[in-house]
Amino acid sequence: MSSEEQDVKIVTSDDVEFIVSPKIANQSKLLADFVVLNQREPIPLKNVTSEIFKKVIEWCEYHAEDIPKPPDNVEEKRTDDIGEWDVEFLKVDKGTLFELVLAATYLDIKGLFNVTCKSIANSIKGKSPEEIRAVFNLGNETNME
Amino acid sequence: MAENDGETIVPDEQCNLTASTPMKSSGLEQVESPKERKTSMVECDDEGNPSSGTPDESPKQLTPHSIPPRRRRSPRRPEVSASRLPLKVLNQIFQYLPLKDLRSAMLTCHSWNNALSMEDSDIWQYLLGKKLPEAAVSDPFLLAELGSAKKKLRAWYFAWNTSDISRNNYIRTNGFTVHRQPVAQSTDGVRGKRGISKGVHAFDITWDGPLGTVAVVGIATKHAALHCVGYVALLGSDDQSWGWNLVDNVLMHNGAQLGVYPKMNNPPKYEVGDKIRLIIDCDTHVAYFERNSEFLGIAFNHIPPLRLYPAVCAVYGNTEVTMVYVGSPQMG
Repeated sequence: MSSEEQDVKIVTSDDVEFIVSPKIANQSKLLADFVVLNQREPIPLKNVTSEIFKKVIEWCEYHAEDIPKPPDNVEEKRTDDIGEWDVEFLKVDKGTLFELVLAATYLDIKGLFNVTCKSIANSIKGKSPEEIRAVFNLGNETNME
Repeated sequence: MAENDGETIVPDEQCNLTASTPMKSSGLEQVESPKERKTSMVECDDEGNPSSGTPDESPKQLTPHSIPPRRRRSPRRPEVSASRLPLKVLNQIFQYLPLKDLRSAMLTCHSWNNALSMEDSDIWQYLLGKKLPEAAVSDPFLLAELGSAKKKLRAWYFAWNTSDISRNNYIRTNGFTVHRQPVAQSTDGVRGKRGISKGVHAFDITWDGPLGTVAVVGIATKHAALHCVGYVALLGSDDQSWGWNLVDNVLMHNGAQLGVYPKMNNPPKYEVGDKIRLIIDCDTHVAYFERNSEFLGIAFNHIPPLRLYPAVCAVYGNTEVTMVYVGSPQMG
């Protein structure tokens, strides 16, 4: 454990505490600031449940050594380049997938944000509006407001 | 596959307490299948101690299953619906979709339609940069009247067709301007990429070079010829095309002159560089022109219900004609 950087303490929206190492926290732009600040108080994450946060940590642990990708404006907008591990990781129900993309947005984890958006885009490609509604369970009339 | 990394876990009593916390939460939320690997997600600090809460927060209980009366759980948020994804997320997702899928997405639900209706959003800016030639994007005048990235992208899909053109014409690198090469005794035309068969559509056409003896703007079916020998008002010479020869202000269809246009005494000559707007109203089967925003009268009526393409034909060497699709015209 590095003597310069301390673990950060997280409290999720359902009041579960986590201790996160710098190599994990630094993948989140939101949490990375707290690593630098050597924050001692637990950081409340009002928008992320413990269930989703565990999955986020799992993803970050696997990708901790990734080489950073080129900026978005250079990257070709393709969705067939999701890695094998990520494909398995994202085989979850649609609700969980949406929670993951929201958590990635909130925590500002670029790689997780991109891969979850690509996965959702892959669920849209080649489908009619009716098929998309069925895939995303958008059958309720309230969703058409 | 993620597995417990033994090096990151100090299996002492306090670390176990931290690891057991998710199980408590699992019980509280009635999660059916607790995850087996949860312990790998928590790491100890240098001292191997889990954090202790400050007096401001709910005290952490040593017994995993006890629920203190003072604890307040955040109300469980309703499951996230695809129609409730924030705009930043939708924009990112939609940037991965080709146009055909964007159309399906627009018809899927109201919030997606709203996101895609923002005509200068990242989605349309990205596609604009990807599809249009750099010479078009950087030209300050070419698409200036089109107020959004989405409209400029649409104009690209209607521009002159590089593969439906006389061999003596070529499309300049901006993609919107046709150039006629100096070939003697030849009439050379071009069609737009996309035809129309319903609705009202407007095309802005500007003759950028000299007219010569024949300069015809008009409409053509897919089958109208785009080349012939000699200097001929080819557009309008058969039943597959309708044309207005700007040189002598005469309308032509099926080889017959339909009269002078605009329909007035001594109609003014076309000035090179003037913008002509061709409006095709498929629903009432008429076509007409405006010049510099002035309505010139109905040019053609009783147009059959066919797929119609904007077209021009030219005879003058090195003359150029630009065509920009503007969509439904503003009705004044």
